[in-house]
Amino acid sequence: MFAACLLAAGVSGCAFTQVNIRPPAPEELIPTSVVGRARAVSVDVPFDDQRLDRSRCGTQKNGYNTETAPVVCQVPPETWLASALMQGLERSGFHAVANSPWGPATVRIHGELQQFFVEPKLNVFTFEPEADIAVRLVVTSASGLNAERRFYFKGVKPALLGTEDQFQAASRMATQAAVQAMVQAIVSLLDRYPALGTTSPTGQVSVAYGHGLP
Amino acid sequence: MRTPPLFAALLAMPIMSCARHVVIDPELVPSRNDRDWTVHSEPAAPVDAGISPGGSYVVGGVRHVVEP
Repeated sequence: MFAACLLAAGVSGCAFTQVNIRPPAPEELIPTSVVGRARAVSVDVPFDDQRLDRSRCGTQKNGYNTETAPVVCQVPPETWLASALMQGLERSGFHAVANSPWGPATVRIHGELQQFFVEPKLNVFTFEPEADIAVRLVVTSASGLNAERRFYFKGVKPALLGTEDQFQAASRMATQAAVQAMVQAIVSLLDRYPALGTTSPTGQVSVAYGHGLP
Repeated sequence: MRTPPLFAALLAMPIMSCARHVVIDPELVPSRNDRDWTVHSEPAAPVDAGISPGGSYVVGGVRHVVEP
């Protein structure tokens, strides 16, 4: 009986402790590839933070679905996502630079963070930390490209208890899904316009004149 | 025998919790994820960017030729 009381106190105590989460390491984001083909892209870091609640990254809850403690991002989420996208682009073979000068064929990626929230989803027997990330990307170039796309990602870590590690795992899974989908989408967009991204960040055009393939 | 109000309230909490998740679960709102890019304007063609017809440009070490 005493042990049960201690266990109950310990478990409920967890719900009142602030949860800290941090971004995943670059090697956890996406496998390396060359799909970027050395194209130059500039990523606006940080993203615009357009979350409704900017004071926290999520919430801890007790068994009655009551919010009991905040989830705090060790890196601001607008920087978290922008940096993760830049690292994902680098690992995918792009030449990604943060906030680089505007060149004639430079591709600029601007992001708006609309949601970044981690909270437990309470089920009958499980306590699943769940991370929701919503981003709107706008891709532009001085040569006239203007495209936008909305993304929504979810990371769920099934667990019995809502420990900090489970919250961390959920945010990592959502970030991985976000980076992989955004990089794939950027590749598919830029592949439609082969001349884009062929400049250095300073805007020097890489053009060779000729009448056929070498 | 009537159910005590406190017990009824405790019983209702998880049910209400489940209902809340069913209603607002974003996975049930596919409109939050665009299937493709919305392209408002396209970049100028390579010719307009200053590359003559018959000329070429290099992307990631691969040379592309602008059709005459």
